Amino acid sequence: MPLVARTARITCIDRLCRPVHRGRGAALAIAALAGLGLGAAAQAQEPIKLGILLTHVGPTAIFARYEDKGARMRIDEVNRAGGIKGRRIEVIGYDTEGKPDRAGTLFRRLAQEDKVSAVIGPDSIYVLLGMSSVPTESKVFSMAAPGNYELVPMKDRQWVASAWTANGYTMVLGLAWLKDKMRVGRVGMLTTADSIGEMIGREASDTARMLGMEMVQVLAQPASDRDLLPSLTRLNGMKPGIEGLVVFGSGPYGTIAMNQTDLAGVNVPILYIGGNIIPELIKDVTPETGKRTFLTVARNVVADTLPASDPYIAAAKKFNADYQAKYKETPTQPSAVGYDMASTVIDAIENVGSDPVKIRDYIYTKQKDFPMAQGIRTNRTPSDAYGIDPRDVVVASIEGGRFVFKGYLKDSYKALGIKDEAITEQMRRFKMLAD
Amino acid sequence: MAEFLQVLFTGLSQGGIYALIGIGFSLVNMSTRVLNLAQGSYALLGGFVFLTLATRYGLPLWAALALVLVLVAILGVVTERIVSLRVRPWRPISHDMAILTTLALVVVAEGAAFLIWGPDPQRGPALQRGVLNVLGAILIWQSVWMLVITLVIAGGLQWLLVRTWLGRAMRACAQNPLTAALLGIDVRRVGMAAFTLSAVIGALAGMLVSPITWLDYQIGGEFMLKGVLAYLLGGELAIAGPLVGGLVLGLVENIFLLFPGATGGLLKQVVPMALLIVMLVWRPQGLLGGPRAR
Repeated sequence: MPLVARTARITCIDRLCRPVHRGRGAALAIAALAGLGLGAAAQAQEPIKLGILLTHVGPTAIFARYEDKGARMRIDEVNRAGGIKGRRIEVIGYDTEGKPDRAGTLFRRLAQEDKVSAVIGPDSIYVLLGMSSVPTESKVFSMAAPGNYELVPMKDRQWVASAWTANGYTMVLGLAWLKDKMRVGRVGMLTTADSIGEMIGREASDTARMLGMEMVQVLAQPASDRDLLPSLTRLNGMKPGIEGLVVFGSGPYGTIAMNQTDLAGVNVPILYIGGNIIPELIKDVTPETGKRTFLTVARNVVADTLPASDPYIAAAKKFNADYQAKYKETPTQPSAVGYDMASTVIDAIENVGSDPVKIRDYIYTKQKDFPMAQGIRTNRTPSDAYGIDPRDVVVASIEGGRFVFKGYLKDSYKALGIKDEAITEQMRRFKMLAD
Repeated sequence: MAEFLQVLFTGLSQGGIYALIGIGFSLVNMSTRVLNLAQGSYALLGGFVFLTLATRYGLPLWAALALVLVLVAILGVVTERIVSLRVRPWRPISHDMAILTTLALVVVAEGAAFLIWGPDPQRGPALQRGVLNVLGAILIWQSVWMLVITLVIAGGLQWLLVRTWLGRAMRACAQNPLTAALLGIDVRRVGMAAFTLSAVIGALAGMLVSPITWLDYQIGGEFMLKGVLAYLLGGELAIAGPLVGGLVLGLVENIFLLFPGATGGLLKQVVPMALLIVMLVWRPQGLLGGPRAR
C-alpha cells in the first residue's frame, strides 16, 4: 500500500511522469493481490524500478523529448515480453527543468526514496556537471547522455557513463574528413564563448595539429548572439584564406552561423559540431549551405542512405521502423540514444539482477561488444565511459532537410595514416579516457 | 576596414533593440517612477503572437502587426492596473512592490510562452529579406529596418513629450505626482498611457528582432536585462538617454569582437556588466542625465 501512496504523490509533483500512471496500475494490482492473501507471490514479482531523469524545459528540452520516447520504447518492449524474469519495469520519471540542483535532489529521491535500481539520465552536460557527484554518493548508476563527458570530474565517473556516441569529441574528429575528402589544409573556427565552446576549440586545434592541418584562428561569440557576421567577416579576411570552417554551437546559433557563411563570403566546406542533429534544428539551413556542411552522426540517422554492406544497417533500420510504428514520427539520434540508455541498463539487470552496485559493475566490466541502436558497439571500462572507438561513426551532410550518408570517418583516418596510438593519446589528453 | 564596419553595423543594430526596450522602461519610469521589469515580456509575447498570426494563420503582416499592437496595449493596461491596484491618492505606489510585481509578471509570461509555444526557438517573418554590402561589410536589411524604426519611434516620442499635452503631463508626473494631481492631471491615466505606450514599443521590438535573434520562451529575461542596462547607461527622464545608452551598449559589446581569438567573445559578456557597475558608482544619472539633487 505504501507503494500506491508514493506513486500518487509523484504523479502530483511531476506532470511529466506519465508512465507512473501505468505504474500505478501495476502497483494497484500488487496491492490487490496482497489483499487476496497472495503477499508472498506479489513480493516475488515486485516491479524493477528505473528512474528517468531528463530535462524537459530549456534549450535542450528538444533532445529529452526524443530520449524519453526512445527509453520508454525499450522498456515497453521488455514489459510486453513479460518483464525481466517475470518482473515488470516500473518507470519513475522526473523533470530536471534544466536545473542542476533540482536534478541532484531528484536523483537522491530516486535513489533513497523511490529505491530505483538505476537512473536513465541526466541528459544535458549543463545539468550533469552540477550534480555529477550525486550518483557516487547515492551508489546508484546514472546512465547519462552528455555529449561532452570529458568535462565530468574523474572522481565522479565510476557511477556515471554516457550513451551519446556521436559526441562532441567524435564530431571534432570529423576534421579528418575535411582533409581527406575536401583537401582542406587551413581551417578557421567559430565557437561559443563559454567553457564548452572553449574546450571544443582546444580539441579542434589539437586535432588539426594531429592531422597536419593549420587552425588559423578560433573566434568565439556568446551562444546568445544571433549576428555572427563580425567573426565570419574576420575569418573571411584571413590571408591566405581559410579552406574550411569549423562551427560549434547548438540551436539557432549553429544554424545562423552556417547560413551566414554565405553572406560573409566564407563559401568553404563546414565541419559542424553541436546539437543540431535533429530535423527540427536543421530545417532552416539553406540548401546551398547544407550541401557543404558535414558532421559525424550515428548510423540510425542516415539508415536510409547507408551502403547495403554496412554491418549495422539492419539494426539501424529495424530500430527506425519500430520507432516510426510506435510514435508515428521519424526517429532521431536522441531517440536512439534514449533507447540505448535504457538498453544498457536493462541488459545489466537481465544478467545480474536489480542490485545497483552489480548493475554498475556489469556495465563497466562485463558488458562487452554491446550493440547500440545508434549503430555502434560499446565496450565500457572503468576508464572509458563511452566505450566506443570515436572514429566508428559516419559522416553526413544536410540535403533536403535531412541527413545524408557521405562516408565512414574511420576510412579517412586510415587514408591519412593516423595511428590508433595517436587517437588514444589525444583521448587521454582531453580526459575522454580516465587515467 | 570591413571588419571594423561589420562590428559597427552589428553593434548599432543590436543597440537599436536595446534602445527600444530601454525607451519603454524610461517612459513608464518617468511617469510613475516604477521600473517595469515586465517590459521584456511585451517583446516576448508580442513577438510570439506576431509570428503565430503571420506564419501559422497566414495573416498579412500589417494585420498581424495591428492585432498584436492592440493585444499588447491591453496587456500594458492590465499591468498598470495590477501595479496600481491598491494605490489611492493618499497611498502612493510602493516601488518595491511594483518592481516585484512586474518581475512576477515576467515569470508568468515566460511560463505562458512555454506552455503555448513550447521550448523550441522560433523565427518570425522579416520585413525585408536579404543583405546590403557596404565596403565589404554585410548589413542585414531587417537590422537596417530595426535601427530606422527605433530612430523614428525615438523621434516621435521626443515630439510627444515636448509638444503634446500628454507629454507635458507625463513630465509633470515625473517631476512631482502630487503637484501634478493638484493641478488637475489624472496621474493614474497618465501612468496607464505610459504603460500602454511602453508595451506597444516592447512588442514592436519583439516583432522586429524575432527574424534575427529567434524567440524562445526565456528571451523575455534577456530583453529585460539589456533594456535595463540601456536605460541605466543612458540616463533617466528622456528618450535620448536610453537611445544613446542602447547604442553605446551595442557598440561596447561588439567592439570586443575585434580582439584576437576567443577573448572578445568572453569580454563581450562581462564588460557591459562591469560598465554598469562603474556607471552606477561614478555617474548614477547615466551618460545624458543631469546631476542629481542632493
